[in-house]
Amino acid sequence: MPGMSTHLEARNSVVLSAFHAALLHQLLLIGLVLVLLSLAWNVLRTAQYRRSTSAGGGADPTSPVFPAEPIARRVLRIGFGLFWMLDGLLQLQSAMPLGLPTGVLEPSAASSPSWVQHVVNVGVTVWTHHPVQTAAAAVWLQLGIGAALLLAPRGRWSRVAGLVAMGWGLVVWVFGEAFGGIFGQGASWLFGSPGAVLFYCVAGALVALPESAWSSPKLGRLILRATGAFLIGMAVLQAWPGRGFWQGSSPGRNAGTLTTMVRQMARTSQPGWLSSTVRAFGRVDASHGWAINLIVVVLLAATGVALCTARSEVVRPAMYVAVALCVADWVLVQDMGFFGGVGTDPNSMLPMALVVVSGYLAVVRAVVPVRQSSSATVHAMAVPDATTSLDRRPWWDRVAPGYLTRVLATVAAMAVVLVGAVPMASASINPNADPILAEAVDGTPNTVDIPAPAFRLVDQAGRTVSLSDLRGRTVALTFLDPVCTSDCPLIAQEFRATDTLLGADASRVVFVAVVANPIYRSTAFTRAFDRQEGLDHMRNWLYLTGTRSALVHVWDQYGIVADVAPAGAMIAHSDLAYLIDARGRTREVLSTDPGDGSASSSSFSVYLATALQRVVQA
Amino acid sequence: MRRPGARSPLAGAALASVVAAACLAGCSSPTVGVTGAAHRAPAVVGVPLGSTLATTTGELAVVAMGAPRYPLDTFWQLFFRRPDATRWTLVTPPGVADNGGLVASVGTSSSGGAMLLAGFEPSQDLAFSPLALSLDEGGSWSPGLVPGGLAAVPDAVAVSPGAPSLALLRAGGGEVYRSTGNPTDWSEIAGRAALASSPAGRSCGVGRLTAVASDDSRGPLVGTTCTARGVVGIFGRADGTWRLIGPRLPGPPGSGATTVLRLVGAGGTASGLVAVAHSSATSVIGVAGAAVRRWSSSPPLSLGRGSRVVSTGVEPGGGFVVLASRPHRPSMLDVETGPGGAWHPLPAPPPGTAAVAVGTGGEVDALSVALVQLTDWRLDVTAGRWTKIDTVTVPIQFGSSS
Repeated sequence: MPGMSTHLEARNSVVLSAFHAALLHQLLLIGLVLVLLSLAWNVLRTAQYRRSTSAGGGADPTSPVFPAEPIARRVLRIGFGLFWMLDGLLQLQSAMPLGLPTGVLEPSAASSPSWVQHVVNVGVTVWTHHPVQTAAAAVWLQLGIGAALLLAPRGRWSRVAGLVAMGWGLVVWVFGEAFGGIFGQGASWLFGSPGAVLFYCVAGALVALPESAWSSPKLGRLILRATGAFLIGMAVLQAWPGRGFWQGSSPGRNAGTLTTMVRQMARTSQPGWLSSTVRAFGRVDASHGWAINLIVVVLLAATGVALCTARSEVVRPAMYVAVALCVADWVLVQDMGFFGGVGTDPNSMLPMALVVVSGYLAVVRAVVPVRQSSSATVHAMAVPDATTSLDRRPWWDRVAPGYLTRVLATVAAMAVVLVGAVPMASASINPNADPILAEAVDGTPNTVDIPAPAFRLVDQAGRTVSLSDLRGRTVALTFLDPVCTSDCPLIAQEFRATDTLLGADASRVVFVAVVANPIYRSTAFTRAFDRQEGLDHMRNWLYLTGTRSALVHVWDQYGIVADVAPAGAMIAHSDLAYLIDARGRTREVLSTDPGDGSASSSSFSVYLATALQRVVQA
Repeated sequence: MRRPGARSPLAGAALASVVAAACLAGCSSPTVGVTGAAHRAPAVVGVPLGSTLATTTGELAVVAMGAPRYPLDTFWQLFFRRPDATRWTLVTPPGVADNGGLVASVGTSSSGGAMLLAGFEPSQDLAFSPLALSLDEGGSWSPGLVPGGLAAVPDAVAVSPGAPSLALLRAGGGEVYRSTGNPTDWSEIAGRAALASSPAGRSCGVGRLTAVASDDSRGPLVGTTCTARGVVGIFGRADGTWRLIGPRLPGPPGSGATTVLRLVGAGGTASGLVAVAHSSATSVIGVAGAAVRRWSSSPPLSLGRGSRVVSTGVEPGGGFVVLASRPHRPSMLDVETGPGGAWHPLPAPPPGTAAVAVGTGGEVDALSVALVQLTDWRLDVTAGRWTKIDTVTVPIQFGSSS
């Protein structure tokens, strides 16, 4: 009913059930992939055993020979693998499908320039139109990336995992984090600039580098210098006057930027000990805002300068300071990042600390000792591809069982990534919203099989039209107020979009609206409404009206309420659509409440088109 | 060994980060303070829809009620009072959501009573303006329709006994339509583009059309903004041609661009309330003229820096009432004593005053709004204070427009 539009709660039960069902279906698919891969593993192992024994060799190829994975790379790979897994699990939160756009995406871009908001809005639109598909896809994408990083320690599979992590990370950084807020007002290292996911991207890129890059301290120095330069820049930004970081809170003045942020974070839903810790820090900053900022600026600048030297004796204490700073900020300012129901990652401090530690290890432990073995067995995952290609022995002599298991496990992880990536890609190119939104707003259609009440009214061109004239075609009948300001124009657009979605079936359907305003009901108004909504060129559109008594009769027959409200209010009328089959029998009754956004409106068109096709085919 | 003069990586990194941070700070810092140029910009006078119009057949008042901070919870109301009545009656026409605004005009019907024409401003997804016409002082309404959205100015519709009704649409900076009876049948008689390119329009520098008035003896009148300094954009139609009939303001007011805020015509006399924007502040002036080149004008009423016109009113004789809010000070209320007469300051009206009306007997009523209640305060001129006359509770239905 206009004026009573429905708002979807973040934990709407219809959407939540669909989310859980989608996850379950995809889990079953992944289970199937795992079964197939297990079978493949079994077949390959059996074949390997038989061929080895028939050739007179041992039972298995011996353990592989390869240099150990550089410790810095391993820290990065395992650390970020675990982060991706955690992020994937956080995506399972029940508020994600409907809450992410309003709770995370839009706020992240709120203080950014309009072009950033425009870019982020692309992501918001995709997610809002396909909440179930995208939320479930994000779960599997991130779990799959995490698993791939953890399971593939070396070689091309590991590098591919790094590339995939970097690619998806960039998507999240741009559309989910609004470029980490670096273009927004109030950007600060303390608040997470330049965004947690940018560190995920950096880590992914580092993992994707050829292993030769890790064989000297150059890469470690580069990581440390880049991080150092970043920290110096953040120190300058932190010290910049007029941004509110130098003030705490005093009577008669607005609270400082940090104090305000910490107070907001303390109000987030979280464990009591964390809330009280954050609140206590907020009080300290309120009374000593200037001193706190000075400490932060000095520590950031000093740590940054020390890291830029890339000398191990200077870098080591700097690394400890950087990690301590990151942990302190993570707890006291960022509130550990993932509480509140729509937290998508642990925020930027832990990833950044991990990058610093990795850089340090890459400098001090760059030279990797090679484990020598007398065996000629070569591990394809462990050595450059060129070496592998020179080995002309049959695969059952070359491939160690552990390697085989790991390759298949990595393939399984990549399959999990695909289980997420395919629906995500499909959602991003589908302009029509998921009909689950309309179902969440309007409920499921009521199926009936009763004669539709007859009517005889006048269309927008002044011609008399009765229901019997429309026999042979399916009728989508609704009731619209031509001077309505909210719901009716949206419903009209939904009908227009449905007509397009029906394609060839549209010729078998006629869309009919009956005026739902006892005062503004002449054909002048129906024509004005048609012009406004672009319906005047829709050939299978009829907007019917009549005398007040004729309209009241039709409203009564179809159970429509159209109340004249006083004091500048709109006509309050029912939002219903009747689907009448070619024989003049009502087959389905739908609520047409367009909800509160374009997503549910577009969703309703898909929903209505599906229902109409059911009736046409019946 | 480092080459002499070579920059260290440390210095390079530090320089790069400082430059990047400075750029970030420049990009992201909120603008603090206002530039000198902004200080010198002339104050902009909006034309508030909150208004009153008093004629010999009755007075009407248009006020925003509900929660004006929230557009969908703002409900505009139309009140009417007969000349012999003491109380205002709620006569808001039903059937259309009026959250976007309401405009109205009052004339004399064939039976001698008041005839009201109201128009609904477009809002949300409604792009055209329904009208409502009442021949019985708002007791009942019949629907009408203009071919577009009405301009958001108080004098966007005009009715006058014996003359066609006029409507000012917002399209293209203003289009004027006339109707000779049927309120769904309108024909265009003027547009901003044509008016601006005419010799009369060029001498004024027409910006947009801001008001229409219908005068049985003078024909249709159109008010505009004028960029030509001191020229008042009031146009009249004679022999099918639009002519600039507004005066050129003398003295200091003649140095600013003008906007016609209100326009009325009766018995061959046109009256206009004109805002003049100077570099430092804005002032308003009442002008009145019975014939071309015979205009009188009030002294300028300076609004002061930061002031905002809240409501305007037309008194039965053609004078004007201006209610302006001032920062950190009580509202300013001034009445022009007759067309082209002097401004007379009145005591600050009660808090929440949305419109002020001057009746046929010279009584001054302040209509204050608190959510769903309208309170009518009458000025006791001798005592210099406001006395509560009446309270009207309006049955607003919050949430009905979302």
